[in-house]
Formats: sequence, C-alpha cells, structure tokens
Amino acid sequence: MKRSFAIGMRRYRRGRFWRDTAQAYLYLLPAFVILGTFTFYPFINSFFVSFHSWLSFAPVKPFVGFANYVKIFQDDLFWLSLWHTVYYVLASVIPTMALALFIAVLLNSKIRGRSFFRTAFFLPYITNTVAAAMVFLWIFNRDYGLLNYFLHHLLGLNLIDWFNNPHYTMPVVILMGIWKFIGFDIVLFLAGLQNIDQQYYEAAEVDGATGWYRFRHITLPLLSPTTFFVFIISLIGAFKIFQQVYVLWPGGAGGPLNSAMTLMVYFYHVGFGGAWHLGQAAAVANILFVLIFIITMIQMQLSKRWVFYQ
Amino acid sequence: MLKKGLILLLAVALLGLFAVNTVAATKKVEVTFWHAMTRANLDTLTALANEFMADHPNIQINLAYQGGYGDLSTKLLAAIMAGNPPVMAQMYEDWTMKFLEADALMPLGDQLSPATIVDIPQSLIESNTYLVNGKKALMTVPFNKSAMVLFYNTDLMKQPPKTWDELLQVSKDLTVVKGDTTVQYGFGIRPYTEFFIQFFHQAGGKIFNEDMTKCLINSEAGIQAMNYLLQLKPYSLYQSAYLSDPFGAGKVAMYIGSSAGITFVASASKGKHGWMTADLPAGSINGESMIQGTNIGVFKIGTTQVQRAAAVEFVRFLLSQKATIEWAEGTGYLPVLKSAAASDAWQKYVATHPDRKATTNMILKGFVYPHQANMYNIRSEIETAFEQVMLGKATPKAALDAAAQKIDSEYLSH
Repeated sequence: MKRSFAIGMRRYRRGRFWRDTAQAYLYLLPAFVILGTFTFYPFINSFFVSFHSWLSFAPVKPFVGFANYVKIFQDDLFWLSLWHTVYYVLASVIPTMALALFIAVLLNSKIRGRSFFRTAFFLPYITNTVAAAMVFLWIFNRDYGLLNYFLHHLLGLNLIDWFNNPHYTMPVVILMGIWKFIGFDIVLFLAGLQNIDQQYYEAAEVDGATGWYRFRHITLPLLSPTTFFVFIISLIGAFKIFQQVYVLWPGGAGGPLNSAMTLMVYFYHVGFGGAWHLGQAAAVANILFVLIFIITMIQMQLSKRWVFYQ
Repeated sequence: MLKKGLILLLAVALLGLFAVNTVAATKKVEVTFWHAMTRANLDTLTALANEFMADHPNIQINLAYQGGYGDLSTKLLAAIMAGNPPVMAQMYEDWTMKFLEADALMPLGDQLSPATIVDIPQSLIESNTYLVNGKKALMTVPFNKSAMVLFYNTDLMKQPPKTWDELLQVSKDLTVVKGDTTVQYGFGIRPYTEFFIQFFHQAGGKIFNEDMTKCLINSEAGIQAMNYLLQLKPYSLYQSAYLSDPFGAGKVAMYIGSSAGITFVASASKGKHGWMTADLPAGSINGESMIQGTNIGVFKIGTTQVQRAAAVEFVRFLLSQKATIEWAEGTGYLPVLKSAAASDAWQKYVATHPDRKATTNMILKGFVYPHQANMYNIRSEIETAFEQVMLGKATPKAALDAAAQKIDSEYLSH
C-alpha cells in the first residue's frame, strides 16, 4: 500500500516534471527561435564561412583552412585598423568613464535642475548617430566650424583641418565617442550610486571622514560592480566602433589615408564595400570576437581583485 | 419577387467582383525595380514609370528605394545569393561582373533594336558590354550617367580655362591670401580616385595593359598627372567632402566634378554668385571626360518570363528619345542617346539651361573605366596613392609604383 503510493507519487512527480519542463521550454521557444536564427546560427556559420574561399557568387566555395586568416594577418590595413581600434578604446573608454563618474556624483548630490541635466546628458546617447555626425561635421568644419572659430579666432591657433589631416581624424572620432556614450555611463553610475546605503556615509561622517575620503573609501569600492559592468560594456562597444567613422567619411572609406579605419570599418571594407570577400570578412569578425573574448576574460580575472559585491 | 430580384442582383455583383479579380490577377505583371534615386531624381523616375504604366496598363512597375549605392549593392548581393533578386536594378560595372559570375543577368543587347544600339554613345556601349562565355554581349543599358565638367564662378572670370596651363594660371590668379589664411582658393581638389583618373586619362594614361594583366598607373602619364596636381595643390582647397558647398560659398573659384552635382551647385550658389559649367580644360593628350553612373540590368534568376518581358519593355521605354530627354531634364544626368542629345527638344532645353551645354558636349568626348572584377580594391589602392602624394607622404613615383605593384600582385594575378 505504502509502496504503491510512493510509486504513484513518483510517477506523478515525473509526469509533472516533464509537463512543467515542456511548458517552460514552450515559453522559451519564441526567444530561442529568434536568438537561434539571428544570433547563434550566424555566429556559428561565420566560423564555417571564414574557413572557405567565399567569394560572393563563385559557384564553388572551397575549404581553405586558415588561408583567410593568414591573408588578413598579412594585410597592412588590418594592423593599421587594429591599432586605430586599440587607440580608440584606450583614449575613449577611460576618459568617458572618468568624466561620467564625475558628472554622476555631481548629479547625485542635491543640485537644482537635476532631472534636466540627467536628460541633457542622456540625449546624445539616444540621438541618431547620422544626425549627430552631421552636427559634428559642422562643428569641426575647417573654415566655418565652431571649434576652429574658438581655436583660431579667439586663441590664435592655426586652423585645423580636422577631417582631411590624418593626424586629427581619430581625435574627432574619439571626441564624438565620448560625447555620444557618456550619457549611458552616467545613467548606470547614477543607478549604482543610488544603491549605496546612506548609512555608510552617515557612519563616515560621524567618524569625521571628509568628502574625498568618503568618495575614495566608500563610494568607489561600493560602486565597483557598476564600474566593472560599465567598463566591460564600454570596452566591447568601443571595439565595435563603426557608425561614427562610416558617417563622417562616407562610403566606408575610413578617412584620409585610412587614418580612421577601425576594425569594423575594415570588416565592412573587406566584406561589403565592393570586394565582397565574405570568407575574409568572416575571418575579421572572428578575430574581433576572439580579441574581445580574451580581453573580457582577463577583465573577469582581474576584477576579482578590485570589485566588491555588497 | 423582391427577394428574387435581390438574389439576382447579389449574384451579378459577386460575379462581377470575381471577374474583376481574375482580370487583375492574370493581367497585371509586377516588375520590381531596385534603385538608389532620391529627391528630384526619384520624382523624375516615378513620373517616367507612371507614363510607362499609363501606356502599358498590364504592367505594374514597383520602384523600390534601397538606400545609397553601397546599400543597394549589399542588398543585391544578399538577394542574388538567396536566389530572389528583383526583376531589374541599377548596377555599377564591377557589381555587374559579379552578377555575371552567378549567371544572374539576361543579356539585353538582343532585346533592343539595332537602331537604338547604334544610337548609344560608344563609351557607354563599351561599359555595358561584357565577355560572357567567351562572347561579347550587351548585358546592361546605360541609365543615370554623368560626366566630369568644370564648374566656375562667373563673377570671378568671364572665360573658363581651356587647357591645363590656363587652369593652373587662373587658379594662381584667383587665390587670395589675407594674413595667414586663404580666403579664396582658385581651385578645389577632392582626393577620390576618379578625380585623379580624370587627369591621368587626359595625360594619355591607361590604367591597365591590353590583356588586363598589368597595372600601368605608374606610367609617365601617372607621374605627369600627379605632378600637375601637386602644382595645383597650393592654390586648391583640399577636402574629402563635396566641393559644391565651398564653391557656392565663394571659397573656391572653380573645381572639376561630376555633372550629377549640378543641382547641388545651383542651390549652394543661389543668391551668392553666378556659376556655369564648361568643357574640361584639356590635358597634353586629350580633353576627354570621365563618364560615371549606373546601368540597368534585368535578372534572369528568380523571375518569370513574363516579368522579364515586361522589364525589357520598360527598358526600351527608358531608352526612347522622349524618356531619356525627360530624365536628363529632370535630373541633370546625361541623355544616353546621341540622337536625343542632337534633337531639337534637347537643344531647346540647353538654350534655356546653358549649364547643360558642357555636359552634352562631354557625352561624345567621354571615357569609362575598363571592366575589372576587383575594381573596388584597385580604386582604393589608387586613392591611397593619390592621398599620399597630396599629403606629402610620398613622391608621385614612389606612391604610384607601390600601388601598381600591389594591384598587380593582389588583384590582377588571377
């Protein structure tokens, strides 16, 4: 009697288990179909393509092993674009984050018009890149631009040909990157700041800690999970920088003497610009993937030393 | 009695509806045309399509804007790979070569009357003729064609320069420096490949040898063209953005650019100064002008016989004298028939639009890029060499030698 009850229970549970599981998968199915079709399949397929000579319409697409990768590594333009990408990442991510943190701390204090500033700083992030680039084209215009007006007419510096002098192309891209992405960082930092329990500050105040000490020993450590998240997200975003360059120098040309050619622009150049060498383009995409993957892994490891979860 | 009548009425109405439906379903042939035309160009294209459809009630032309040329090419690439391209599309020559690899296009030469083919300028016949299965065939037809012309500020000069020497002299004379800034440049240089090729060609240059196995960009003509542009550089506004804006603002006294920019020059100069187009100042060998722009091709994969026939009908219409003139008037592109350019209708139009005189002259003095499947990469290499020289990073010889060598080894060897 007892035994049969237990079996019955088990059967019930088993049946229930499978039913519940099936139900859960059913709910997951739409997301999985969409992700599978548009994310996982292309991702896996890009590896397949990268090992073939995938020359647009060539009827035969032979397996070539690592030949596409070798070809990419032999191309000077790849190394140049890698250097520009690293340059962009270093020169934009850290300053953007530092500035964003500074502004977030200011916005977190009780200042007048706080929500106005919050909106104002977030606006560039939701502004269409193409529209923003048009404004930047004017600001940095050599003859009529606002920036040169200040530099030249007010400060007496030489006119700078921002878009045509290879030395200044990356700085333009970086400045635009900072302007565009800072709002996103600010919002994340603000959320992080508001999560910090006020008790810590009150206790610190009782102990007589000044502003800087409170920031250094309370805010920074307790904000570190947010900082880490912002860092990873910004880093990945910065490695994939494309739109700004594409719009500032139309047609994927990558600026004068390719001085603003980044990895994603290079990828476009190889794959879709007109050469249509999809095998090599897939190789570029995968190199970028591996690069970001390794850097993120290193970040994860390093983060153990400086990220504190409450 | 009333009931019976109602039923009868209903039956007749239903029958009628059914009949209309079947007529519509069997008679209207849908032809999708992928293009990259905007603004006035799109308006003119739409007007032409409507005119055509009014005469051919059984054909529906669906104009589908696909974005800029880059987007159009990418979308065509994807559509052909999926076996489902539109019935017809605008296409550049190097795309066409790729589409031919996929055997995706139907030849158009044998669909046109010999009279029409003879009427198309020779340079445009060349650029639409491809080697298919060892035989030359007219695969596409010219569509939105523009020529390089000289734009000049009529407030600053009465007569435009006629030769390279004059161009240099006038550029010098019209360059105005105040203090340490140049307030007016005589000329404008935009570092893109066709700008250089224009001068290269006039110096007698050929990009490739006869059998397309060697790049000759570093020939004497290449070095001569580079040196000449270097001489012009101090008197030129050098920028990668279009020159129509600084020209309109009076910052640049003249520049060489595609006639497709006429409408932009007109609006940029409006209310500021007079302007006109002129035949290009001639180089040491010739005064020919580069003809650019896309052609129209009809796809044979993923389309039905009926659709292709309808598309061919539309192509014939676009290649009629009346349509090509209407197209040229509305857009600033060239009429693509010699008879149209010589016709009274066009001459009358030119009399009231003198800026079109030079572009009309240039149709018969045009040259085009030779066909090369890797033209995109080859253009990039030439552009890099051009920029290197203009920015003082390399001598003409060093830059062109390096470009030629890379083009030979990377893009012509197989």
